Order: sequence, then structure tokens, then C-alpha cells
Amino acid sequence: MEKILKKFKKIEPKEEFKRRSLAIILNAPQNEYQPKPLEYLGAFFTFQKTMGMTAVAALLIISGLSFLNSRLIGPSLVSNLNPQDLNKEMESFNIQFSQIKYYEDSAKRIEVALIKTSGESTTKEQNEEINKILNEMAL
Amino acid sequence: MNLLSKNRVKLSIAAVFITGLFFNLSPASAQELLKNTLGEIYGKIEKIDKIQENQILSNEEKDIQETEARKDALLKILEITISENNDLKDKLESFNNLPENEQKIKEALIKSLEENLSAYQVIENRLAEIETAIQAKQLASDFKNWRALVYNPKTEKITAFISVLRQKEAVETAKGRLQNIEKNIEKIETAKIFKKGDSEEILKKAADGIENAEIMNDKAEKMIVEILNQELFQKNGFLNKLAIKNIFAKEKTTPTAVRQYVGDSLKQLQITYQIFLDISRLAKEKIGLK
Repeated sequence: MEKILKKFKKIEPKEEFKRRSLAIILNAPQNEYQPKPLEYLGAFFTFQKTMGMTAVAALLIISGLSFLNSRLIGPSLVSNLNPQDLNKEMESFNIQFSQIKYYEDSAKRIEVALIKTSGESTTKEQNEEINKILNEMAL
Repeated sequence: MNLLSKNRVKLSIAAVFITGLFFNLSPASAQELLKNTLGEIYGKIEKIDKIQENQILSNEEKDIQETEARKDALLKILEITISENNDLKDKLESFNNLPENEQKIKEALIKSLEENLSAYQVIENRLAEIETAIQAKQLASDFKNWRALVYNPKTEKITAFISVLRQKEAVETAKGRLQNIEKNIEKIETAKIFKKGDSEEILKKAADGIENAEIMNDKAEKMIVEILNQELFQKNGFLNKLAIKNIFAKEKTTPTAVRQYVGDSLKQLQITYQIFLDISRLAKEKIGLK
């Protein structure tokens, strides 16, 4: 065994193998390659991807602003321009005026009614008024 | 005169006082009620004609039935007159914080309506005492004359006064509405509801409408105050200054002219509110308001 080991001690590679191996080792990179961050981004953001993402971002911004716009503008405009409220207000103005009209109509019609009740003769106009009211009643 | 009939008259009139009135209804409902009440009155008048034309009834029977029919008609007319009287009083009493001169007028008008009560009492008593058709006819004639001489002119002036004060409130409401919308003009522009620069122009149209409404109602107010001051506080003496002024005036100071101005003022507000509704509609389209 000892003889065998001493024999191994004397073993050496061939001269040609030594040279080739040395050349390979010296030419190999010393550390693994690490690309710089900007180079990374440059590689990721191709022209097509960049354009697509810009379009999506623009869409989000526009729709976001529009939403924000309607949220901010909406409530105060709604309270002041609510069509139901506007119509209700207008209707209340009209009611006031129609009540005055009522008194005009009522005065005329009751006068005719009293003329009839008193047995006094009625004018042609008053007869027309009576017929008009009787027709309305029949409707 | 039987007691039952007397009580019927009294109870019916008491009911009118208790139930108050029907005027806080929509115009359609108020008109409907007027139509119904007048319909009842005319129904009773029609009944009088039918009794008179009836060949089967004896003269005595005709007189009894005719008397009752005329009394029924008179009772209904008295009821509606008292209802109107109460309504006008309620309306006048609803106005607070009036300027001193208008407060004075308001109080005098309420007093003048209360003075009508004695006439209603007389009519009610006479109605309860009626026994013949002739008496019923006479009461109808007196009632008609009282309405023509006292009730109708008073009512005409009171309703003109009320309409002016109500319209004044309406103008104030519209002003408040416009101010609130104007506060949002920047938001309206941001929302691009109108083309650039149009917002101010459109809101100016609305403001002009309100201004015109106010000018017209101010004229109406000046007129009715002048009429009522003359009527209520300057009656004594031979000279009715207003009547003399009206003879030569290009524009007569009358309750009819007052109503005309109030009506014109109302039209201006209607135009203004149409503008508000247009803005509302556009806002709905542009920014999706519901």
C-alpha cells in the first residue's frame, strides 16, 4: 500500500493539459454577471409595453378625475338644481296665484246662483254661465 | 218655523266654522272642490226650476217644496261665503314681519273680515225664519246685494293684497335659489355644463327674470298699499284722492291692475325656473347627476 501511494505522488499531468487548463481558467469570468438596474428597466420596457401602459394610465387618470369631478360637483349642484325641488317650488308659486283666480270665479258664479235663487230674471250671459256650470256638473 | 229646520241651519254653519277651509290643496283639488260646492248649489237651483215646472203638484205643495229648495241653496251659499271669509282671515294672519304700514293694513283687513260676521248672523237668522218662497227670494236678493256692495269689493282687495305678499315671498325664494346656484358657477364651468363663458350669460338671464319679477311685484305692492290706505284710513271727506287721480291717470290704480302685475311677475319667475330646469337637465347629462 505504501508503495502504491509513493508511486501516485510522482504522477503529474501532461504539459499540454496544464497549458490548456490554465488558459481556460484565466479566461473564465471571476464573478457571476450582474446587470445594472437601468439596464434591467431598459430591457423590460420595450416600446410597445411603454405605449400600452401609458394608455392604461391615461385612462385611469381621466376616469378618476371624472369620478372625482362628479363627486365634488355633484352634491352641491344636486341640492340646488334638483328638478323635483324646482318643480315643487314653481308649483307652490302657481298655487298662490290660482287661489286668487278661485275668488274671481267664485264671485261671479255665486252672484248668478243668488240671482236664480231670488227669482230675478237672468241676462243672456248669466244664463250661459248657468248652463256652463250645469254642463260641468254633468261631466 | 219648526225647530228642526232652524237647528239644521245652525249646525251646518257651525260645521263650516269648525272645519275651516280647503285651500291648502293643490290648484286642481281646490278647483275641484269649488266645482263640487258650486255644483251642489246649482243642483238645488235646478231643483227649483223642476218644482216650478211640475204639473202634478198643487200650488201649495209647490210653494212648500220651492221654499225648501231655495233655503237649501241659500244655506250652501252662506256656507261657502263663510268658508272663504275664514280662508282669507287665515291667509292674512299667516303673514309675519311685515313693514309697519302693511302690518297696519293687515290688521285693518282682518278686522273688516270680522265685521262680516254680523251680516252672516243676520242672514242665518233670517234663513231660519223663512216660511214662504217669497221670503226666501227676498233673502237671496238681499244676500246678493250685500255680496255685490260689501263682500266682493272687500274680497277683491284682500286677495290682491295677499297675492302681492305671496309673490314677494316667491321672489325671495327664487333669489335664494339663484344665489346658491351662482355660488357653484365655478363648478358648473369645471363640469363643462355650458360652453366657456356661457354660464355667466345664462345665469344673468335667470337673474334678469327675477329682477323683472321683483320690479313688477313692487309696482303691484305700491298700488295695493295706496288703494288700501285710501280705503281703510282716508275715507272721510268729500275728496277721494285716489279716485280723482285715477280719472286722468294713464294707468289706473285698481285691484285688477294689481293682479295683472302680480300675474306678470309670476310669469317672469316661471321663465327663470325654466332656465334653472334647463341647467339641471344639462348637469344631469354632463356629469351623470340623478
